[in-house]
Amino acid sequence: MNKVTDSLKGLAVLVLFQLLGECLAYVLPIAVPGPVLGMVLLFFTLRQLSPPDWLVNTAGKLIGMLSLFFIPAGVGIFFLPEAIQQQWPAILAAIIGGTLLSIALTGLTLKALTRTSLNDG
Amino acid sequence: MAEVPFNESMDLLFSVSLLALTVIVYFAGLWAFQKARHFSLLHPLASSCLLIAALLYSVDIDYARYQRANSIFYWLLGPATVALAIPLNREFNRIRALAQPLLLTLLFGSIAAPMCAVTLAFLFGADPLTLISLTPKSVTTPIALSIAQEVGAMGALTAGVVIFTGVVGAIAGPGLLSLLGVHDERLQGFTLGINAHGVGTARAFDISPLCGAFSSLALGLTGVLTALTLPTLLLCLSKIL
Repeated sequence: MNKVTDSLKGLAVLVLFQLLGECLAYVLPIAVPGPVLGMVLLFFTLRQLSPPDWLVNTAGKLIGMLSLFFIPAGVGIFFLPEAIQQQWPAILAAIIGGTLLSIALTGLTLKALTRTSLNDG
Repeated sequence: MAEVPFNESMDLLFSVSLLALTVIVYFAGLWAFQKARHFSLLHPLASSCLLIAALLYSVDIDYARYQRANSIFYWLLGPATVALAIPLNREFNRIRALAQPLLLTLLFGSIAAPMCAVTLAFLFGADPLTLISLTPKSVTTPIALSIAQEVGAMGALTAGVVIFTGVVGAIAGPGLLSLLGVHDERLQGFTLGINAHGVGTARAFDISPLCGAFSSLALGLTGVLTALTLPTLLLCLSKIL
């Protein structure tokens, strides 16, 4: 029972920060989504206070289940309108080729830039 | 024809079954993935999406109906994104040591990722609408969808492309990087976060908590940076062309 209350407490804190993020997003003149601003706010809060165990555990569980949360959106790619479905070779090229290419480019850039500074452990 | 429930309680029961379908298929996919010793083509997200799509087609259920029943998962992406602040904070000192190369790579990566996708799709003859919908493909879903709205892309296409970009990154990313001599888990994590957002970050946490923290950082920064720059960049491009 304690575990359940802990998870609920953790979720409540995360949702509270998301809400604060949404408010900030509404006020700021830029198109940054609320959850990302909520993450930034929580990050700065944690620089001042160390997080309680129940928050760390809830966060770990949510992060561990990220893949599950993406499923409904992922299923959508199989239900696109006809006109878009005809372009699947281009879409596939972008998803597979484009992703591999940009991973290779960014990975090599990062490696080249960190050659001297990686010895700190 | 989609199945039409004849009253509210039937409708609710139907929604609960569609929700249960997602959870059951996901855990079955995860189990198979672990049984196959993390054989990467069996990535649980890829296999679950395929299987659910096939099931929906075979019993003739609309995607919109399925999506509505599963909106809780879309909602949970919000707190899960906020939760990334915790590993980020834990590893902050090790991240700060590499701040300069990380930021430079971030700038490069957040332009390179959409450029690679758009160039390849253009060569394969995609429409302008499709090209625009591909631009936020390396950004985490909630941000990608608000960017899509901003630049007039097709949200459903963007969402699907984003997820499968993440799947490709998670499946092939670590192997490709090792092949190119990028072995350090911090660098692998950061590259996964730039290119493969939350799905790549989930994979990075499989490698190690440190790898995951670097990936979370890249995910957040890429999202913010792209949200700030992409709409302006596209506006300038449309004026030139």
